[in-house]
Amino acid sequence: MPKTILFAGSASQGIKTATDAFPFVPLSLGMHTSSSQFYDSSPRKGAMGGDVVIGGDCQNYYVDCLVALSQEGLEATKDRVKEDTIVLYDNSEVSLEGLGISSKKQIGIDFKAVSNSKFGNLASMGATLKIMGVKPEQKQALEQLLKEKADVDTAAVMAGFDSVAESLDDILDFNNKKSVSFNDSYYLMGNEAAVFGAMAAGANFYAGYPITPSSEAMHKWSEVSQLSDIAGYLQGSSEEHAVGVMLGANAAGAKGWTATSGPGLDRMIEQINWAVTSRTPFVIYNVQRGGPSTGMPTLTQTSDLFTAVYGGHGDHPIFVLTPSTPQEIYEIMKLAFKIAWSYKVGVIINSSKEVSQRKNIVRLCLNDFDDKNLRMLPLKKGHRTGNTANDSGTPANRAAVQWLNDRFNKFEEAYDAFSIADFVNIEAENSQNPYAWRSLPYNIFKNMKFEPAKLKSAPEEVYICYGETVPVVKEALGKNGLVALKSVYPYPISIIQQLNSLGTKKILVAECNRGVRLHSERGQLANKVRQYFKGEVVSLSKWDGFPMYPDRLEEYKE
Amino acid sequence: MITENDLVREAAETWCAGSGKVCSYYNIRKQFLSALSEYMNKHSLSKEDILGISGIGCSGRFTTWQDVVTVHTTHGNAGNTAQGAATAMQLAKKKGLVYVVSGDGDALAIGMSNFQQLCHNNVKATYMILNNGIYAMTAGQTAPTTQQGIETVSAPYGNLETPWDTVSLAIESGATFVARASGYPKESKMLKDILLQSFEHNGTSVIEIMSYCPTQDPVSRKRKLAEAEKEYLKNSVDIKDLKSDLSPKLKYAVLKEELKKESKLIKGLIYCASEKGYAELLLEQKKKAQSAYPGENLKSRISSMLKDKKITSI
Repeated sequence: MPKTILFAGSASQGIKTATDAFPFVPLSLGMHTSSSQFYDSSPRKGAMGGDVVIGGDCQNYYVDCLVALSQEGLEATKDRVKEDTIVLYDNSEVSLEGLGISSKKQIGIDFKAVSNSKFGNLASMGATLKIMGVKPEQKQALEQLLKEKADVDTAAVMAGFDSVAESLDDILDFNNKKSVSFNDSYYLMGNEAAVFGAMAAGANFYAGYPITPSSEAMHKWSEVSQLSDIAGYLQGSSEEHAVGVMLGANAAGAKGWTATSGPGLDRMIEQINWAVTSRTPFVIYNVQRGGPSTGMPTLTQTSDLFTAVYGGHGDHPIFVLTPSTPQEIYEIMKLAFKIAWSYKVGVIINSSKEVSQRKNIVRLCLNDFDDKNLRMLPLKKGHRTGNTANDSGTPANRAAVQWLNDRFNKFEEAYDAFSIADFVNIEAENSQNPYAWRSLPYNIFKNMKFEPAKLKSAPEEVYICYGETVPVVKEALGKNGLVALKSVYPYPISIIQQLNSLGTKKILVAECNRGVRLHSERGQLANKVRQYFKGEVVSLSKWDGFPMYPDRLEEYKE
Repeated sequence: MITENDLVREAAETWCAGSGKVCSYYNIRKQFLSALSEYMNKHSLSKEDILGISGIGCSGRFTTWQDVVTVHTTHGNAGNTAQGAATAMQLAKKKGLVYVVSGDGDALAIGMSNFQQLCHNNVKATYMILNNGIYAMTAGQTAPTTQQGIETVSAPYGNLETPWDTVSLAIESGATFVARASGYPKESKMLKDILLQSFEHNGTSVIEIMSYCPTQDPVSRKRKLAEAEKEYLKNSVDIKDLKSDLSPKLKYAVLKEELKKESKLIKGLIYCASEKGYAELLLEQKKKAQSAYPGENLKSRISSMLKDKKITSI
């Protein structure tokens, strides 16, 4: 079971600094580590926190160690404390009285005083490192590591380290170093991984409009693209403007993409629809967010499935891919470009805050970054990108419609068969293993044929998940089966139909959205599964903006 | 050698034409193709190097008959589509031309912001606004360029708003080549000359082309092309014939107000300046970025940027 360490405090207390720096210690010891932060939508105000997860891709609700630096931070997170949680708190800022905290291990330290600093964040980080198992004799190695990896005041960290008497856990004992080494791996945020995936796939243009929680993708692209001699970048004046700029570049032979979030995707819909029917390829990296409008900008949701699939007037096919970790974002971005430019279609990647703003290990293939891959594609003489809806009725445009129909027919076969998933406890042939993608040469997709996975056996209870719920369900899966969808649209109908004949009695669909109606049609994907699965379908859904937690999975059932 | 006819793509005509009542778009198209073929021959460009982008309405059909690479966009999105195409082409140092054909409604109502953003970035593109003062294709509703007081189907007691001044708007938005011409036969040479100059201009060019709609003419449904032309020639004055010591921007702003009393419109090449556009500035900035993360190629520069994110063991 992964260990969860939660730094809780208020904005401007350096919670982000501590959450970003801490993981380099377990990472350097060969432990799989990720971190995720929650924060208020008002700058420099409100409670915020950062979960560091050692040994997993998602945090438990009940934490192993809570580090509380402010009263409001503690009050926002106190429910995540259980009896054996270690509560480390700044006793000059925080009082535990009257909060009903059940923890038996409480340690109060004045972190600002011990580190002689305006902030207690780094001292609290030092204290946590010691509590989690770093031994006094390993202090020098720790200091050296932090100097190399984290741009922090190591003296403050060490003062915090010395302020704690003993270790209460042994997870970070340097003598427990794992033999695993993370070759070519970087500790990146999901949004940053999207940028490297795009560039590895040959993307040479980006136009976007900043929107939480996808903005880091724009920030990173604006930095990385300038390292290339060719790649372009533009911050547009709105999502409507930006998506049009991107599609214009693509019409001129660029390989352009954009990043956005739920409300932004809404604003792009008109042109997405146009681009698909006019065969202008594009990739949209959408970090979903609950709406409407401002909605829940700093929280997580997977509620844009319907928008991505059905958004637009008139019929138009589209691909919707769903990464569940930053590594998968990187891989899926590469795949998205391949699909978009092979079939001349649009691909929307539906990620979510919990995946995209999570920092995690991402293995990159640096050889993919080459200006030679970023050249503009040649245009064809007489190529027309038409607005068919507007043009229908004139002879020229009847021809255009025919042209589209011919193209669609060729493409439909592949489209129907398209479904990428990982299977756990389900025996399958032809399944696509996303982790194998990175070791394959880039042009492996050139003649890619999508064949639906052939399932051979499956347990009675099977979970179907996509995006952020995949790692959560994996942690709590037991002997049940799991279909972890990497592509959610076209809908995985072939998989569901096969489960019908393999003796599966119950499908549980875990997703962070509400669905059409609260009771009878709960869960956006669950709705589709109900349509095709003959047995019982149970929706596990949650729409409060906080992620699902593996230790509370049972509670989310309808 | 490319001729005008080589650039014509066969397709049924949708523009109106009748006895004495001919849509001035026909003449605009003729002058445009003549100018384009001349420009292509001069710079040895082929059809794949020319990207034509159109918006909605009757003017949106413009690209249907052109045998170059064409993009017919959705409502109001010609400006941003052109901005992307022009930026990408300039970044790739690709030879060629991006032109946009937009109506007054497309550019100044539904696509106002996109039009302004294109001007603001001053990337190399020629933006033609075909201004007939009305929403023609959709049955004659008020356009952003309809004169105040004109009765339309959507303003049956008269239009209350004043028309936008395309030229002022384009100049203030940042376009570096702004002109007003017309599609009337007697001004064909002027139109073609201005188009040719705009193709050569290294930045965003905006040309407002005053047009006559035979079906939804906002002035009078009975008016014929010749009458409309006569009236236009009487009520317009070439900026070359107006003397002023003011800078080009101020000259237009001041004289426009003075001539308003006489209901006269200023035409000709009104503003032309040489300023770097977004794409050129972006290319220049690459040097600065690449000195922050040095390396001989993209891979080594990214590697240098990612140095502190790399996971290493103790």
